[in-house]
Amino acid sequence: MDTTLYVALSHQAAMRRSLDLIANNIANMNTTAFRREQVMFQDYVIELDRLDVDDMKDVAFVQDYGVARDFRQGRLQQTGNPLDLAISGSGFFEVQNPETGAINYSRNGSLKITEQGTLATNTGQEVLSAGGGPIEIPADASKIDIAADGTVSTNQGVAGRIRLVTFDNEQLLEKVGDTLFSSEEQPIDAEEATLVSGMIEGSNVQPLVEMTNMMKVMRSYQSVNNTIEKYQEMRVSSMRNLGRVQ
Amino acid sequence: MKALSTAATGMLAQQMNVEVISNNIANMNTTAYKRQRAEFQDLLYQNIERVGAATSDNGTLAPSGIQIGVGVKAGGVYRITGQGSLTETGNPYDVAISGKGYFRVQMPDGTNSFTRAGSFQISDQGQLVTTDGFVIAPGITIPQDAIDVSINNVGQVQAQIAGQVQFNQVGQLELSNFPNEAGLEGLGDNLYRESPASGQALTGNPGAPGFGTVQQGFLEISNVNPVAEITALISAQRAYEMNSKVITTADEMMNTTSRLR
Repeated sequence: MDTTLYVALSHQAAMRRSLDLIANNIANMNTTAFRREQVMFQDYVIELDRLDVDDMKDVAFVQDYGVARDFRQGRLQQTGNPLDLAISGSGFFEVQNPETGAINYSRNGSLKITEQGTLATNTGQEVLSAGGGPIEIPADASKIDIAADGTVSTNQGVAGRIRLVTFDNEQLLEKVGDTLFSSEEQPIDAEEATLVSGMIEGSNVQPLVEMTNMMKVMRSYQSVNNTIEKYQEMRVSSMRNLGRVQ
Repeated sequence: MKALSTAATGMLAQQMNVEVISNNIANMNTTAYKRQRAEFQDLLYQNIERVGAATSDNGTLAPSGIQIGVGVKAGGVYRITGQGSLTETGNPYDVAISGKGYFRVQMPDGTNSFTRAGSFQISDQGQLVTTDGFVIAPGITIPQDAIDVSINNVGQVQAQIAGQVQFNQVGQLELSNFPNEAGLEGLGDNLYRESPASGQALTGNPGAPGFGTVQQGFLEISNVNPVAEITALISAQRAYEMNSKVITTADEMMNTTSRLR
């Protein structure tokens, strides 16, 4: 009986979730190598055949069944810092937490040198080399160069080569915060990705798109509200009119 | 509604961004100031529907899940150590570094700090000191009766004594270099300190491989690019506004709901 209300509710719940995602995209507008996300919707159809009404259409609820991640390249910003790396093309750094040993993936190439002399991300996750271990920078090295293929060299010689990986299906990656991704898939070597030293990849959020999406979400939320109000009015008036004793 | 708090983290981040940019603009004319950049990271994600969750008994998996992030945080503020341009002052004790390297400064407590601001002075003992009176290492003493001082590209300090034709070498300026300059810890007063992130200082003479040269009579100005800072300021302000717009939108949506009866 109250199908109208429940269909409207399913829509509003989906719109709220959509707004949560847009808010996260906008908040991360300046986050290094952030990837924007979007909700995917599908309709959940219930047939009304059993009601035995011929001209009745099927009822379709809204269901949000997933979040699609936009893996397009963010814009590159020049910083001039030799330890700032941007990945051009599809690829990730393989990073390891030195304490827990957990391996994650990241595109955030704002690197530093740790107390142990290893190359790590800003949050202290060690960047892994093609050989699997962390890359150690000699303490007395005075100049660091990182080539397009990831080879890290200092004035003391080559220190290692940064491994860039990719995945068969990037959508299966899970975000864990700190611009890190985790994956249960086996990574494969990224052949096409190259490194650009002295640059950093910005977020791929397009503010204009997010703002228009946000307006769309709000208007659509409000229009469903109107539907609910109209339905309520209809019900009230039907109760009043039909219940009137002649 | 998460959107409210998510947008609030976004506003906080942009506020910090504006603080960093305004510090850059304020130090536009500070000798050898290196501009800073705020770096942001996304916060934790909430898994509403897990990626790869089973969708049937037959082993089919959800190709994508629902993960909603809860905002942004500041990951760090780091220095961009590009060369600032050199400006001529004509003062014999102004020394600019062209290329990589820092002057080593002996602090009163005996520790070392480093600076690129080469606006030196002579102390009452005739030593080469910074504007705060801290001695430049290794100590260089200019004879009291010197009438002219010359510092060449490779840092040799020579003085001409009254009544003599020849210049006498009175000292040699040294530079220090770091594997990761951006990791130096700023102390204020144009001074930096070695940190675990910067790596150990490597000392050498100006002009040696890997070190810059010095220029007498010049000062290095800040590497702040006013146009870049102002555009960054504009985009930070707009980003702040957009985050506040998200709050308004979330509020309006809740308002529409509460008006339902």
